Amino acid sequence: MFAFSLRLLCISMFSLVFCASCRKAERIVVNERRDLTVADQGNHSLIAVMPPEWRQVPSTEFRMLNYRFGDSGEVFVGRSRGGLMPNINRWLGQFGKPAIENADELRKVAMLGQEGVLVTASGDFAGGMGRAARKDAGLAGVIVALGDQLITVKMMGAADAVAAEQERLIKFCEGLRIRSADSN
Amino acid sequence: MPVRLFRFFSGFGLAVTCLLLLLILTWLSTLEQPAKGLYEVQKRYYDAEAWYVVPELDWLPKINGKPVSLPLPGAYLVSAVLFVNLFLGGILRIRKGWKNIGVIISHFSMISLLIAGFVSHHYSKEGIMAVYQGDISDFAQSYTEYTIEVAEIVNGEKEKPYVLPTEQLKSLAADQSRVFEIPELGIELNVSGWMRNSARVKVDKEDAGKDVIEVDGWALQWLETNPTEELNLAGCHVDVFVEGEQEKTARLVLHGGDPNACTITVDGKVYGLRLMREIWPMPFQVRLDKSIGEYYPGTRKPSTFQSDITRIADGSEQGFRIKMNEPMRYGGYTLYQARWEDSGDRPMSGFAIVKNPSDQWPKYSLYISILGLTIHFGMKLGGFVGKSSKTKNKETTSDQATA
Repeated sequence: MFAFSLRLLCISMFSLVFCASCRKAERIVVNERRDLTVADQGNHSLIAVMPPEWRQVPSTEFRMLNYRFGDSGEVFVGRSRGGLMPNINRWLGQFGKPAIENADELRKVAMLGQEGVLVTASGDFAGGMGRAARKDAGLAGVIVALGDQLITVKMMGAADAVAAEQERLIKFCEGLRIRSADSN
Repeated sequence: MPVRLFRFFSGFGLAVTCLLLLLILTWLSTLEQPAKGLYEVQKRYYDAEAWYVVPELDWLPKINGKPVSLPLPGAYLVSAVLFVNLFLGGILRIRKGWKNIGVIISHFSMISLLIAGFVSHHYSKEGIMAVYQGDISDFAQSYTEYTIEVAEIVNGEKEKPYVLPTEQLKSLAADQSRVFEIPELGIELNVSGWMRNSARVKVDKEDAGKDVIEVDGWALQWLETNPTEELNLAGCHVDVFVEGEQEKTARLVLHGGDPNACTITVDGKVYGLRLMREIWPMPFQVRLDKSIGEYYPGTRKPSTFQSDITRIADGSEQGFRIKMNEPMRYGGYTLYQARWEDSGDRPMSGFAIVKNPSDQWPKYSLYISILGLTIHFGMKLGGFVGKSSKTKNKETTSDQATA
């Protein structure tokens, strides 16, 4: 009886080792979907309709929404303070452009129910906010005052790529909306 | 042969061996827990896939500087063998009759206890619902289990997402890849480079070496696993293939700490992919009306907390107060308050949500066990008392006869 038990134990051990080495299927079909919850509304109140030519990448502390296009173009939505004109001139200053007195001459863009301004510049980008200096760069951005803060949508990249994407940027800004309580 | 096999599996020796092994496994896993963490130890010792376990304890004897490797069968396997043994030995093989009814009932209670463990292991779910005062929530999120969700984004809003099975992701080794096919979307995801704990780091395209997978200036960095599993942030690489195409459409770097999805565009449709802890929709909503708590002096550890909530289900609202050890039960779900924070502008209550079909079974098993043992020992006691009084009567009669 003892010898039999020992043999049985050995067989069991070998079977176990064999089973343990079996790998799971390497190809899995996924059909399961789950219902939407409040978790799917995201971590901010903005709803954006992204052009299919862009790709969304993870947002960061200062970028509520973060996108890429082409090889190295980027678009990001953020909040800012400090007034409309100082921000416009800060953007222009990054490209070595002279400051402007008022925003009257800038193109107007409807965004979030307000009238925003489109700021454009191209040339050598001096760097800043974690981005390296770059030659032949382009900027197109929209700033709108919303309550006591500013909402900014900034596009940066190669000058020609930014120029080519400018109309998409404007359409994107016009499509931005704030989530209402009964959304989703 | 079948008789010997039956005797082996229904034998008393096997039962004792299994019980001793369970005792040793419980002891060793408890000792390992402070260093390795609860999640890791449970996975290594008690998981259904943990066929065997090699204890990793500092005080184990060493040979040539290396600790002795002492493989032991996993607790799940031992429990399965014990189940078979109890069923064969305690129910089938045992001599039937009124004399053994107590023992049979006790064996049955142990079997039901093992079944409860099995059901709990495979079918129970646990997550956390974090709600800020004044907010409404309708979901719980797993503490530890990661999934990748794939959802079409229409007009800026997420559609119902496809959920990749967590088991198939967490079992991936770092050098392994697995293909997930979503037929309805016509895409395939090749998930590779799974990291149980990782950080998303910025890298320059030029600086990224051959071994670094860089996407849009980001890459993943492998980090040592934290013993507190909730703090680990998983990461992986995903190659997206469109059905029928050989070349991949996109490569993504997904990280568990990302607050939103990364997108791909296929045939003009935008899909978001996000690596996140599994979301578990609830059949009811919870509105947190009031969250009260206190910290131990000089710490951020809550000493007491309670929450006034409104449960919204089937069009009706009902108020509840959830306190420590006073959960709310509804529709098979149990809500315990597990966390409380008051660090922001509003206090937050964290409710642990548990759904376990065998929640109360261990209690009933113990009642059955008490019944069985009471019957058995009662009968034994009755027999003993009866026998003693008979012997006493006999002795008295023989004493009287002698006198």
